[in-house]
Amino acid sequence: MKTLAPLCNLILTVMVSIWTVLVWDPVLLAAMLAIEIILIIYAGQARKLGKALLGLTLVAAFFAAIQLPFDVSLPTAIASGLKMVVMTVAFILLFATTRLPSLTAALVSQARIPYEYAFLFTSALRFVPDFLSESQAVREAQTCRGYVPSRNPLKRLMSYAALVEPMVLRAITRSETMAMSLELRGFGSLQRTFTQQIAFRGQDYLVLILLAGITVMVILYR
Amino acid sequence: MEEQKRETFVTVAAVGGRYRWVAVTSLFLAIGMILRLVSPSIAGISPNWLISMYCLSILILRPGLAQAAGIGLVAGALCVATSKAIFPYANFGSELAGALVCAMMVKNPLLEIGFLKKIRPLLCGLVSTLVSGFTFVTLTKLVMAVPMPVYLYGMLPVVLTVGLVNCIVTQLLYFPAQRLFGNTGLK
Repeated sequence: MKTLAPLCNLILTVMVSIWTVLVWDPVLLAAMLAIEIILIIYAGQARKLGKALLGLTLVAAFFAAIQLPFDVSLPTAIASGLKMVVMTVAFILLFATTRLPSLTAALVSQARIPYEYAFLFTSALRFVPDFLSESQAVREAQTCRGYVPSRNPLKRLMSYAALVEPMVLRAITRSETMAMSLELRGFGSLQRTFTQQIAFRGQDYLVLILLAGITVMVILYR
Repeated sequence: MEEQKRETFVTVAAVGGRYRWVAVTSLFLAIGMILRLVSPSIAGISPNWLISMYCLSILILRPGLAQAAGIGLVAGALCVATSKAIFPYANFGSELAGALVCAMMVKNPLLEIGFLKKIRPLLCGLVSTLVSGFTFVTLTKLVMAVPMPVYLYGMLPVVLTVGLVNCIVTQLLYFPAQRLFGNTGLK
């Protein structure tokens, strides 16, 4: 997937999700999940997957279990839990194999999405690690001042107010500089060029044909 | 005698120009995403910080409907990318609806009167979260064939609870954020 065009990877992810919605066979869904996991391991992102998969499995198991008292058969309950995991892992696979700048370039030049919105999406993802370390710093500062997180989840949630407010206010201050640098770099210019290689090649067209074929098969199998 | 010229320096506060909305929204959405990832849940229910954050962004920036729809779709895409929901794609519809409702409420003249003006962030946060939540669970129910009792007794109460938490968060954050943003729209 790393060698495919970013838009082809995005289409692949969407198609996997469509198949997941259409298929109700737990064995087939488990097979799809296994293929996704193999691809992520092959892409060298196994560590990232491990953490996410544990949380996802718990949520999926909970969702499957709450359906059982309402006359839902066990295979159907398992299938609905698996559907959730397959769809989410498809996105993990997309981000593990596609670089964000390439995805932005593909969204703007090939999917014709206005640049402002494609930029919003990728820049929000890009700022996540920054804010994560910032929130860590705020929490460490609170701990240094003697703050001990309560075991009561409600109190812990309330304590997040002390974390959110400084982050939001800092973001507003930071937005001034960011907006000015955007303008200075010609953010709103009509002619935009990208350095990323996003053009479709032979293998991408081959994948698209394969996807169309599998989709027809899934619809017929249904 | 030599005439001395006095030079006057004029300083202008930076306001960020045409693209401040892009900067503010992207930073707020990033905050919403990390809070969504790290905040604890109470009995499986945690506030959807992304809704609070785009509501806050819409309340401060007061965008048009088309721009609000764009913000909603981007928030939806971010939710899909980090989702632990049964049907992640429902986020596109739900966040679009939530953002549009918030943008319509922000410009509603009824919410400019007296006490309603003071609790406008609370009302916008509550209604947007409820609209977004109901759209999300209904789309999930329809596409994933979720049993009706699970929808009625499992999903809808979660929407109401998250709505209550989100409206408090939005109200608490709005006034300090607004003051710092320097918008003269609300004093």
